[in-house]
Amino acid sequence: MPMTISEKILARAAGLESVVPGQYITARADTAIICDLGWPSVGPLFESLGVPVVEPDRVIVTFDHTAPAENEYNAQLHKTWREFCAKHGITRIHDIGDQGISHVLSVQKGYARPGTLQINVDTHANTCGAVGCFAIAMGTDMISDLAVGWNWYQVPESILVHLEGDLAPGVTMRDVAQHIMSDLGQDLGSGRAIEFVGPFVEQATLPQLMTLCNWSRKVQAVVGIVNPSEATLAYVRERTEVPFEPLYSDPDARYIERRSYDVSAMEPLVAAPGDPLATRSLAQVAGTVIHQAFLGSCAGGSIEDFRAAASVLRGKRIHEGVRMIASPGSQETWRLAESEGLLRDLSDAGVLVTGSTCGACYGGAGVLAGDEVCISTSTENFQGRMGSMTSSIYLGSALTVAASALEGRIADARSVLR
Amino acid sequence: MSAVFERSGRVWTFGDEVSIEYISPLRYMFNPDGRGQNCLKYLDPVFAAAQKQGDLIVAGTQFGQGPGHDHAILAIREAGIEGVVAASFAPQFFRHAIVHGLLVAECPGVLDLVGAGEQLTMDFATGRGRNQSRGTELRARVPEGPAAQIIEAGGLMPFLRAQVAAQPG
Repeated sequence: MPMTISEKILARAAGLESVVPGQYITARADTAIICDLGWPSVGPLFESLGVPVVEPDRVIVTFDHTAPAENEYNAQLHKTWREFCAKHGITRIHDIGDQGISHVLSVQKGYARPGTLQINVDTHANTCGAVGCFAIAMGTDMISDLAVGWNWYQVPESILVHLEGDLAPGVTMRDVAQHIMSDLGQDLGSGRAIEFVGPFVEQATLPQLMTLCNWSRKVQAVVGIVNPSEATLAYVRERTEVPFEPLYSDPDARYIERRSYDVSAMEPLVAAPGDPLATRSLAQVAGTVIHQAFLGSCAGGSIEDFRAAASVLRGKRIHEGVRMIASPGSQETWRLAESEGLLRDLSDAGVLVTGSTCGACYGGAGVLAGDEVCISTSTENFQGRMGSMTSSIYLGSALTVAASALEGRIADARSVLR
Repeated sequence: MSAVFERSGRVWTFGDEVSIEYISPLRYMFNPDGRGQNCLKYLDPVFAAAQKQGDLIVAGTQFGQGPGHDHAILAIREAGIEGVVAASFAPQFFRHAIVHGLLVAECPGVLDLVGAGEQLTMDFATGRGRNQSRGTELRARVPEGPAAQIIEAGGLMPFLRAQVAAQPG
C-alpha cells in the first residue's frame, strides 16, 4: 500500500506493515528529548512510578531555556536533572557549556535521524522534520516512553506542499514559511503532517528547512517533514554512530490536500502582535517604533540568521534607544558565528550577544516592560510571551529584525541593503 | 466503559481558536496558586467567578491551540469542569486532556447544536450526546484504541501504574 514518509515512519516504529490516517497505534520512539523546563511536567510524576527509565540511551536532556541558571529555582532544577540523569544512566545531558536549544541540538548532534520517530517535550519539535525525522511535541505524556518504552499516536493525514522558484534578494525562508502557513491556516493544518517537496526544498539548506518545518507548528500541524536529500544523509552520518535507514514517500501516496507555491514572487512578511498567523506585509507595519529587537530561537537563531543580521548591521550602529539581543541556537552555532566574525560584527553594532539559549523568546533575559514593542525572529507572540501583558511582539526574518534595529522602527532590509 | 463516562451538566460556550494562553496564562505552569479560579478569566469573567462543579464546556474549532503546555488542562479540571466537547481540538491539547483525565469529544458544528446555559448529557466513551434543553441528539468522535484505554484507567498515571505493576520482575 502506498504511504507517505510520515505513515512509513509511524508504521515502522509501531512494528506494523502499514498504517492509515486516523488509525490509533502504539509505537516506540527512537529518541526522547526533555528540556530543562520540562522537569515539572515529566520528572516528579515519572519518579512517583518508582521504575527505571526504559532504554536510557534513547533519552536526551538539554539545558536551554534557563542556561546558565539565573535564579535559585532554576539552579535547583538543573541540579535535579543532573541527579536524575546520573541515577537513571542518561549520559546525553547537555549541561552548561554544551547547552543549546533542544531542537537545534537534536539536528546538530545527530539525534534526529532520517526515518526515525522523535518525541520532545518542547513545543517546536517539528523543527527536526528537516532531516526526514517524524518529530512530535509531547508533554507529560512522554512519561509513557520513559516508563514502559512506548506511547500512543493517531496517524495524521498528510498535506503535500510543493515549492519551486528562487528567493528574491532580501527575502528569506522565514518569509516563505510565514506565507505558506498563513495560506494553509489552522483549519487545514491542525493535526496534520505537512510534507514539503519540490526543487526549492531539494536545494534548501538544513537551517532553512528547520525554519520551514518549525513554522508548521503555527497551524498546529503534528509535524512538518521533508524527504531527506543525499546532502542531509551525509550530514547526519557525520554526526552519529547510530545506523539509520531513511524513508521516503511513495509517488502514489495519498494526501488530503496538495498546494503549490512559487517562492520567487514572495515578499518579506511580519506577524502582528498576538497571533503568529496575523500576517502583514512590511509596508503595512513599517514605521512602527520598536524598543527591542531579538535574533534567536529555534526558528531564527541559526548561522544563516546570524549571517543575514550581520550583513545588515556590519559597520553600522543600531538606533539610539533600541536594544538588540542575539542568541545563537547552540554552542556549535555560536562557535561558527564567532569564527566567521559575525559575533564581532553584531557586537560592534551595539548588539548584546548572549550565550546559546532560548533567550528572550520565552521571556528569559530580555524581558519587555509595559507598552514596549519588540521585533523578533522567535516563535511566539501571544500577549505577555516576553514579559509585560501590555508589551507587543512582531515576528519577522533576521533581515527584518536587523533592519528594524538599525532604523528604530520596523523597516525593510531591502531599502537598508540597497 | 460506558455509563462511567457519561456526564450531565450545564454548558458554558466558547468560540473558535481558544488559545491555552487564554485558558491559563503561562505563569500558572510554574505556580498553580489560583490556576482553577482564573481559568478562562480573560474570555469570560462570569465563568471564572461562577460555581461550576460538574459543568461542561462546549467550544468551537481548535480548542486549546498554542504552545503545548499542559497546565491549561489542569486549570480546566481545577475549575470543576468535567468534560469538553469541541468542534475540534488542537492536537497537543487533545493528548494532554487524555493524560490528565479530562474527558474530550470532538463534534464539528457543536456550537450550533448546544448553547450556553443548556443542559447537555454526553457519553465520552461512545460519543453519544443529548441536548436535554432542546431534546436533540448529537454524535461526537471520541478517542479510540490505546488512548481509550488510558481514559478508561482514569488518565495516564493510573494507566502506567497498572502497566508497571503487571510487568514481570
